[in-house]
Amino acid sequence: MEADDLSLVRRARAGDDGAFKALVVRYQRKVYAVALGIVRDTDTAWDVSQEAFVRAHAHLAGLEGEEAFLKWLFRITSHLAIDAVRRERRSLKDAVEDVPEAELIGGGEGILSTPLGLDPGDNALRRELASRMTAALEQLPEIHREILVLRELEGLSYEELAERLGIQKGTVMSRLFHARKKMQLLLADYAGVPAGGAADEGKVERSKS
Amino acid sequence: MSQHRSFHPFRTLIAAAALSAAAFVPSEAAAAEGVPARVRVVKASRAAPAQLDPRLEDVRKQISALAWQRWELVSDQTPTLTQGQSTFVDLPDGGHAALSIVEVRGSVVTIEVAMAQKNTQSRVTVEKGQRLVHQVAKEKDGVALFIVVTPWP
Amino acid sequence: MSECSHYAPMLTARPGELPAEDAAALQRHLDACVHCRALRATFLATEGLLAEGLLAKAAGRDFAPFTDAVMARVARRHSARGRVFDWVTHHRVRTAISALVPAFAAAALVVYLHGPTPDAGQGSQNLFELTSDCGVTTVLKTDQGPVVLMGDDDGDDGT
Repeated sequence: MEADDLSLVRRARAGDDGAFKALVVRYQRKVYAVALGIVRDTDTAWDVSQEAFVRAHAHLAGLEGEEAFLKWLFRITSHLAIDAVRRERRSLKDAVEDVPEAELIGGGEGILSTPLGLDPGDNALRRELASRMTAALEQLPEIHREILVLRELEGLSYEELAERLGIQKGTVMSRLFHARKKMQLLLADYAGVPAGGAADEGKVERSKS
Repeated sequence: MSQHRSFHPFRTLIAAAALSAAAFVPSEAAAAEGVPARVRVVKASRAAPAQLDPRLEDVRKQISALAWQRWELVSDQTPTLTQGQSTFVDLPDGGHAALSIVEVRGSVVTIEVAMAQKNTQSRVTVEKGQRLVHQVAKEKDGVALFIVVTPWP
Repeated sequence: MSECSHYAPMLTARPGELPAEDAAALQRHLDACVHCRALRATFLATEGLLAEGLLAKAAGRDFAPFTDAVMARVARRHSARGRVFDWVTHHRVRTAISALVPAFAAAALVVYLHGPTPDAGQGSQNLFELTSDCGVTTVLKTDQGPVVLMGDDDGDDGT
């Protein structure tokens, strides 16, 4: 029977390197995925994810009470990834507060759900779209990548995102909306739909399947 | 600067203030209580435009006299600092600062900040409600690193 | 601000993330607005796919060397930190004023005293310079607490 995280953490705290290695093996891919989503570059993501485990090892004693190891590890990872990106960036973060009207209109209606008719059982389609979304993620600005990854991979709530990113809850919601909208526009090519522009209500070009 | 392994007496100037020597004797008898703290790593730059990360608003006045004009929050954590045991804070330049408690007296705490890679350490006393702003990396290309320690946040 | 702009950020709120009043207002808006309904449907249809895509990319990478690389970094870090911890432990049993011999002979020990609190209401800043064998360190005492600045000679990596 596989040991649960808590017992592995306790053993690792006591100096059992084997227990810590088991945690590494268990979560290395998830940690890498979080890092990759934020930093984009695979080498940087590799480095960030290794460093996340190193820091976790150094601060195991700081993991309080019953806090989930993975949640804590994700927090370390995202901090490191965000730091890595900010070390390289040149421009200031956008301060996203309002949702411009035009952004709501472009892209037509239901460009993904309707034409692709996402069937939960259609694994090939899901995989392809998932791959497209990952590629589109790389084109998003840093602040949108960050918040999408934290929301989608870590599953953070609005409150948790606000706390993690040091912003107001309203800003979290706006920023997430902008991020998703931009993602949708980037995927519009894939769906064969003209991205942006004024809405032509009810009329959307469909891709040929 | 050459490295020496022999004994070096330190020459230290003591600031003019009420000298309370007992406050600086690391007392074994002092309560080994933990002090909850907020520790922020901050990057300070001379580059324009002047900007203060909104999460550092509480430090604005304290740093207002300094030459750096852009202040960016790098990390934010809330460890419990303890006596005799270091809490390591990672710095974006790859180094780390080690924080520990020297002494606690009511709402006054003496904090030790050590940086192994840079062979420096200091002890500073702050009251509850105050913050310690401590440079932890020399300025390079106009950018310096600080930590902001807020005991009992 | 139009209604759509107001409700747009709420479109992908999870159950319980919106106050009841806002959730009800959002639902009323969605009942009336085909654009926002469609937009929400799009967002919800693709939820989870980003995570799937990133995890798929991670799965495609060879992680065989990962654990060993992590443990090697852990070992390197531990050996660096041992020096600091040893010094701190050694220092604990002595007074701050007395001269000590830490492992770092070039260490600059700076001792500050907490002086009387400046008069309330008068923001004041007092500047001190403390000199040790390794240079000048500046301390700015403010109402909000001290600011410690490294001297020109502080911070050398000693190599």
